[in-house]
Amino acid sequence: MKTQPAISLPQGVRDILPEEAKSIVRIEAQILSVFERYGFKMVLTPLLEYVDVLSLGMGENLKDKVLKFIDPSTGKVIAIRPDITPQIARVAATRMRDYPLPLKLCYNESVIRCHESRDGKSSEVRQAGAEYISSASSPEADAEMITMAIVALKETGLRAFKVDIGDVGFLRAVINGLGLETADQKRVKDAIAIKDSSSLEAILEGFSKKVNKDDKKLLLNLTAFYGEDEVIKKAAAVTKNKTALGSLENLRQVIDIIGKNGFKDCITVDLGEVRGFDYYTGVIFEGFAAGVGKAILGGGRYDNLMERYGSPLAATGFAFNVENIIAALGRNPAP
Amino acid sequence: MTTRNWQDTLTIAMPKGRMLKEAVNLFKAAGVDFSELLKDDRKLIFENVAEGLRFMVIRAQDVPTYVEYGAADLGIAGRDVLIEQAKDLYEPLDLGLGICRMVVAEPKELGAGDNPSRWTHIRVATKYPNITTRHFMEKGIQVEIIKLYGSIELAPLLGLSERIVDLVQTGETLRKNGLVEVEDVMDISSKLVCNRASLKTKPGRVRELVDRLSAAVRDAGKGRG
Repeated sequence: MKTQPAISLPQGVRDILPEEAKSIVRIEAQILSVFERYGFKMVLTPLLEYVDVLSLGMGENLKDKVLKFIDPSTGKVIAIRPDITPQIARVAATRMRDYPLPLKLCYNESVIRCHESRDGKSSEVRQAGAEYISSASSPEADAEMITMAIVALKETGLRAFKVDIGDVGFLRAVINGLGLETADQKRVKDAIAIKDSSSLEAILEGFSKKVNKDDKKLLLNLTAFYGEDEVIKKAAAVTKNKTALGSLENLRQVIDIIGKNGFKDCITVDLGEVRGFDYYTGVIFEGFAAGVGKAILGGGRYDNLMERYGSPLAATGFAFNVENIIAALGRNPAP
Repeated sequence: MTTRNWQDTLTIAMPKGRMLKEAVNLFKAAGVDFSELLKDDRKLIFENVAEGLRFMVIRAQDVPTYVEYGAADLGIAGRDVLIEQAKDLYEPLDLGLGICRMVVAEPKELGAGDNPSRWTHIRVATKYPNITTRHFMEKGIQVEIIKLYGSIELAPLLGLSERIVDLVQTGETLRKNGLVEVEDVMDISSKLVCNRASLKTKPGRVRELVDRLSAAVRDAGKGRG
């Protein structure tokens, strides 16, 4: 008797059948046409990378999620890409080194991220994203990326969404200004991350070296500095830290430009957002749609990354999670 | 009169059981009455149209899941459940309710000459396998977990495990079963939790509710003196 193997798929991946494939391809085409209109050129990057090369440009939170294997011919460890941004950084810093700046690149690829838990979360994520690489950072570049994200979302027919903007440069300046040990900094950052003012207060009280009153007030307020862009003014009023004030001014300019572009209604501000704290260097942003619990896009400024690939340039970028956009469209059908 | 559309409604997941009554009282102090949910325990959803709030009653362990996926915008969950499940949520307010401690306990006879700093390999019954594993691993102690769903304090009596990790409020249950505390794991209280997307897409509504509740929590703290 012949035994047939179970015809199944590995955890976290799936087939996409014609009906759904059609809507995914349509939305990706809409997004890519907006990227093109803004002058972004598509690159195709390989599925595989050397782990040590990829690691130069990977956020800490991704490092544990990389699917790796050993190349039998060389003995080197190879990864299936968990993120496109480090690949773009590598390409821009090496093969495209002599292209004129700014370098505006976009992509539309799948990435693989392994999850520890077996809760049915996808390992394969389809990303459509863009990266803006220039000689120096500017509020204009940040604003252009966020504006382009909003225009693309509108193009897909999505209505009830917000792009939430924060600034890890501001947060880093505030937290570094406290003069705490690394472990204590992390405790402060982790409490702010979940907007847990109760724990944050207890943590700040518990330090042997007293945190001064103004800093304490600012930190506790950070857990509630979300919503309208007035929070930028409020934060500026309670900090004297020059670097932090510089970041707030930059953020104000970014929001000002987005407002002039006519999209003030589409944005919110959250000064207490710490997503990608170790990876990003300035303005960060994430998109959310009503009725969908997960982000539909995410990105920010990463001015340290290009340097690790040998080309000290400033960069900002983001990627859409196309499947989450489709979930959002299902919840909020276009009128 | 302002009319609210459905996207403006906040859905709040409440834990079934002992905590529900305390939560009702706290919300009442914040000016939101949903005590109807207490009158009829088959009723699981209650809508306060004027406030634009919808309450639903679910199992305490399910609250973080509902909120993480956005099926509820906000919820009330114990720190024990939150840390055990490690979901991606905001935790904007400690409600000061359901205060208790998570401890390691063992039979009195074992406890007499026992020194936790000498443990190398122990067997522990608990409802909290993740917290328990992490607690002992950080100390370099190998721990064999017996996962139970209730009546944890019976495990040592019946020889299922020598020790337990569980919640204690007054310590009465431990005493009755001949157990003593040997180690603190963490302090527990209930927290208001919030879905990330809800906070970002309805920031005004979320903040208003958090502010009202935090004023009620402060007043309750004063009342207790």
